Amino acid sequence: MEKRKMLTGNYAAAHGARLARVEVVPVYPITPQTHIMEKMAAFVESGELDAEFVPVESEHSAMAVAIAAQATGARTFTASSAQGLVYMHENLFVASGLRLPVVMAMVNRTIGPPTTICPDLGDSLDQRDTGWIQIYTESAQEAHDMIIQAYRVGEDERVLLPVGICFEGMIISHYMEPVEILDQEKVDLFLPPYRPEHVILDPDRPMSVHQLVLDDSYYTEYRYQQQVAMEAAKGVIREVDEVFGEAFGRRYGGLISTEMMEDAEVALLTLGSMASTARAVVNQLRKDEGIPIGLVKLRVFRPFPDAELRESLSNLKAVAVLERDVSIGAGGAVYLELAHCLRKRHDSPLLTNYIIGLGGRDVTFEEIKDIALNLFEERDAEVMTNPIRWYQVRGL
Amino acid sequence: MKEINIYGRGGQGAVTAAQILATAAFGEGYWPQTFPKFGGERRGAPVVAYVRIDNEPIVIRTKVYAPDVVVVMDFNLFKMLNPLGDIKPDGTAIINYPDHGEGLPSSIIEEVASLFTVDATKIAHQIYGKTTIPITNVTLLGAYCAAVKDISLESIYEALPDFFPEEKVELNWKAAQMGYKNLRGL
Amino acid sequence: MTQSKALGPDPLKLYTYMELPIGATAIGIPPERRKTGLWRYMRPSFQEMVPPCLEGCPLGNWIDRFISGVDNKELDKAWWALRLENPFPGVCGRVCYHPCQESCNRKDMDGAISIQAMERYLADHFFDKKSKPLRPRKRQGKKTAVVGSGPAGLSCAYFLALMGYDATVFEAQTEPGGMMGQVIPIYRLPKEVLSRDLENIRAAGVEIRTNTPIGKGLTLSGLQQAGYQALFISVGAPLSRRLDVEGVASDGVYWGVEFLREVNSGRSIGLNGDVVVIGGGNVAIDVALTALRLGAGSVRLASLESRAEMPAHLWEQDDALEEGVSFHNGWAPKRILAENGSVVGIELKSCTSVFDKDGRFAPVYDEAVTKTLKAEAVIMAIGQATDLSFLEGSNIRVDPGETIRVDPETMQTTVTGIFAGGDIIDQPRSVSEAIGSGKRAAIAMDHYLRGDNLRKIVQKGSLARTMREHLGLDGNAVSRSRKTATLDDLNLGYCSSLTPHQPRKLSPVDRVGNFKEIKTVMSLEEVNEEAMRCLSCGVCRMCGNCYLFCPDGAVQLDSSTGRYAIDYDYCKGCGICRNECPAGAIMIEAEGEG
Repeated sequence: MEKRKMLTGNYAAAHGARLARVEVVPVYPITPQTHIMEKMAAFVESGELDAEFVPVESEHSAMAVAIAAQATGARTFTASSAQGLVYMHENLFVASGLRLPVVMAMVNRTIGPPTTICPDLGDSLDQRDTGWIQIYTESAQEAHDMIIQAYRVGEDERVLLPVGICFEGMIISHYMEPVEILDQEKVDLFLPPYRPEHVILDPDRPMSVHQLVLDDSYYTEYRYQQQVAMEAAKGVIREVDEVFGEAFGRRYGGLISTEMMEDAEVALLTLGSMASTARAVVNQLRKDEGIPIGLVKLRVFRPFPDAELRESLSNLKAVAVLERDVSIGAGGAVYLELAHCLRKRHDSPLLTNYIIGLGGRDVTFEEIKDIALNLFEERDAEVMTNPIRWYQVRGL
Repeated sequence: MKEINIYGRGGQGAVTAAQILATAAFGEGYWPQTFPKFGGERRGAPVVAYVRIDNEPIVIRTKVYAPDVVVVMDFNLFKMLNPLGDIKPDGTAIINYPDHGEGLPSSIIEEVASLFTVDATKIAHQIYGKTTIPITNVTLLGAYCAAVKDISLESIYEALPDFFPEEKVELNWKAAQMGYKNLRGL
Repeated sequence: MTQSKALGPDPLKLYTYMELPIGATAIGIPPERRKTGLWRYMRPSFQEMVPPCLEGCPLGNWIDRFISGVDNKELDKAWWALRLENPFPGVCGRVCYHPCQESCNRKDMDGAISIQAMERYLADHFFDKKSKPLRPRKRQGKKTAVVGSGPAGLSCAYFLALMGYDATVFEAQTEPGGMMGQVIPIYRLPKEVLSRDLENIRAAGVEIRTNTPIGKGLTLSGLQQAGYQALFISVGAPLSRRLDVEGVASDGVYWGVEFLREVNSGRSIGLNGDVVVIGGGNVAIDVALTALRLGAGSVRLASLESRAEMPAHLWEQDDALEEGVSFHNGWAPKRILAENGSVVGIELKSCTSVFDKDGRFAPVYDEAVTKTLKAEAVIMAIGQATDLSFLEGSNIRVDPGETIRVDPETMQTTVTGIFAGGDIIDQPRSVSEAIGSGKRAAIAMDHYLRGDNLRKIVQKGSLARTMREHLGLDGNAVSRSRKTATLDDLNLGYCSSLTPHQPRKLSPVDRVGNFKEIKTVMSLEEVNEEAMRCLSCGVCRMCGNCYLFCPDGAVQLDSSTGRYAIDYDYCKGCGICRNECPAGAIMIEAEGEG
């Protein structure tokens, strides 16, 4: 039986990993680690989870252990954040390149300086080229559910890629709210054990992996396989969302989820926790002011859901991308990709980009409403002037 | 939706108090949400934890800007900040203060529509013994139940096992009851 | 806290991006405005404890200070601290039985600090150097007199002189020094070492009048009439305690103290056959080793006590055994055997127990069990005795043990203005105990001479026992509790095990037939390493850990005292300073208590 309990995002994620029956949990236990690993350690200690808990001396090593463990056929889980995640960067390529479906909770926090412990999506978005699937969640419940789904997606033989489940530090990691903890028996039916055939370190079946490829014999093909897997992941994510919905009665919509988009003229596009407040704003503007506005929540950043986004946004007049991150010298990471995806089409909407909520600065209902109303006013402009907007910067 | 700010000092259990209150509210069928102010955990430093309680799932994820209720676990906090600075005009405050609230500065009395005190430090010393940091959190939750009346004392009791080892539950239950009984309205 | 000079943003100020200082983020709110003191549940404070070596030292030597002087390579400061509290560093550096080392916290770790060797090093280092006499206080214009120039008397006179009094010492003998010059064998204390210490005492302003006995001609009351406003009696216990056994008057029977005095004065005593020494104390050991040096064929030492009960220090017993002295424990003299008036041997009887159940001296003998030792000389060293004949006609009260009764705190006799110390009062008979009593008396005499109410001072517990306390020369703004620091009070994380250095000794072979000094001086390097081993128990050594570790910069050097001080506006009571203090000189208690 599912039971609902008050949990923080961190604990909800840990419960997800427990229900996935992870077998190895490598962890760098010091800052910027999260409570997730504290809870995992407690699960292992109490016997609720039969797993190897491996404390190591750095995040780089944590990922190295995760790679090695997953390569032996063990389902592996780890978590990191901020500077720790950045420190893993090199090994993230290895996990993906070896096609090892490690799952990691990426708790989004700023990369210093200035050091804070507050949310910012820059740490995981910075990992976009490593070949990891990246899924952004907006609540403790979604984090819990998606950790479980992540294993099924990553371990699918059409995919075989590592998955990062991202949620914002403090705003999700430390908020405590009612979470339905899934039933173990149902999870076991939903998620069969990991039985890899492609890469397996087994003395009875010697295999060479991660070797030098000194000529140009197959590097390109190797990479293209990853690209194909990423493309395939789109379908698998949708599929898993459906199966999950059937099993547990909750669906998230696959790569993106939309709200009031059918007759919308303008839309807000965001990801993570900001989607909650944006949803409330859209509902209110629709109900009280009759503004034809919709919401697109980007759930998956890698693979980037270009087809879905084109379909949802093409006929709109204007879209504002609200994001808690920035690629310094360009704009928000999501905006840049979206602009590319909607390029050169006669029906493309006008795009604006709001850099907002950096370092955990509160993003209030009123601020999002202001952005939405502004967008609605601008919807018929010839061209968006100054499309990248640092909304909360004082002095602008 | 009701918004509650619980002020304490690092080590006193303000965050735990907020979580117990939210869990108790959840036990009564509400959709609560609770979170601490973002910051490091530093012993003795001011800490504030927020609770929202509503009849339906809470979608907003922002700080609390105008609390309905403010709980102050340590009177020394007034030397560092003003916990009542943003309370709603018709708000309720529950302050840990000795001697039935006699001698409470008039600036505080005038600031709050509905003001209560409880000598939680004394109760903490009676119940938990002399500890360096007076553990006033559960006592103040008892006082909260008596003052605000939306959450029952029994619901606090039901929530305690989620936060304390079995052998400490009854002790904390006693603290909650003492807080409930010793609330003084001003 | 000093105003922060660091540039950086202030989080309380809502800067525009143009105003925000570029790149600087570290300081947050300027530290001086972040009154973290309000966070405090616990309150640390500098509270020193008494190091066990100080607790052990009978003369109140400033051990921690001279060790830290050596450790800081400031030998002048170490020498100053040493001379402030001890007029006899050369003597004590050699003959003191160093109870300081017995109580050293490091003793059970890797060996006590060689404190005595450090004291000797300083005395030897400054042996040829003219040290400016200490003048901590201006002249008081009052005369004081001391009777007897042993360690107690000279100590008292020295400290009186330091405190600005005219101090005159009256000595019956031709040479000053008492037991130190007359009795302690020169292989333990060379004459020139004593002379050097005496020179410093004279340089401090003490006048020593030798060949001036007090008693018949010049009396105590005569001294008072001559304007000496306070007197100190320290004539010692210069005689051997006598024992009346058969044959004790025979030729070849000697008495310990007199024997040593004869030898030290240069008169020759020919010993070549077997010698038996009676007694188990340090004097008996001195006698035995001296006898060997004079040419005795064999030396046997008989004592009532078992090895463990012998009052002689273990290391002295070891010296004797090394040189070939044999011990006969549990035996008492029954009679001395003589032929033609000369000793030929001694008959001993068994002593079955020495002390009664309350620890009092009450020997029990078994007369039936005897043994006879052949001997050409028997030397009786069973204790010392006083000669109080000069007190005839005075009101000074004498106790049954033939010692002068004094107040144990003030050393004042039953006659106001007359004080006494050293071997003449009832206290352990050693050089350092004697110096200690002389110092305590000097402090009490100072109060007396200034017209203070001594009894009240004693009642208040504020009578100082050291010069630094009495004259306020500690230069130490740190308060000190009376608790003795134990190992548990220290953070041993900063201490690594180091092999101790001990003074070397001449090999037993090189000692035979000569009076060369047995112990040699340590090198500066060894002394420095010893000082480094000192844990500075309970005493701030200014290591700066509190300053370095304080996360709030709340520990600062107070330039007015030269000590670290805690700024409670900013101290948040985390206790790190206490935890990281290697010396245990910081205590912490709940805010609002204590």
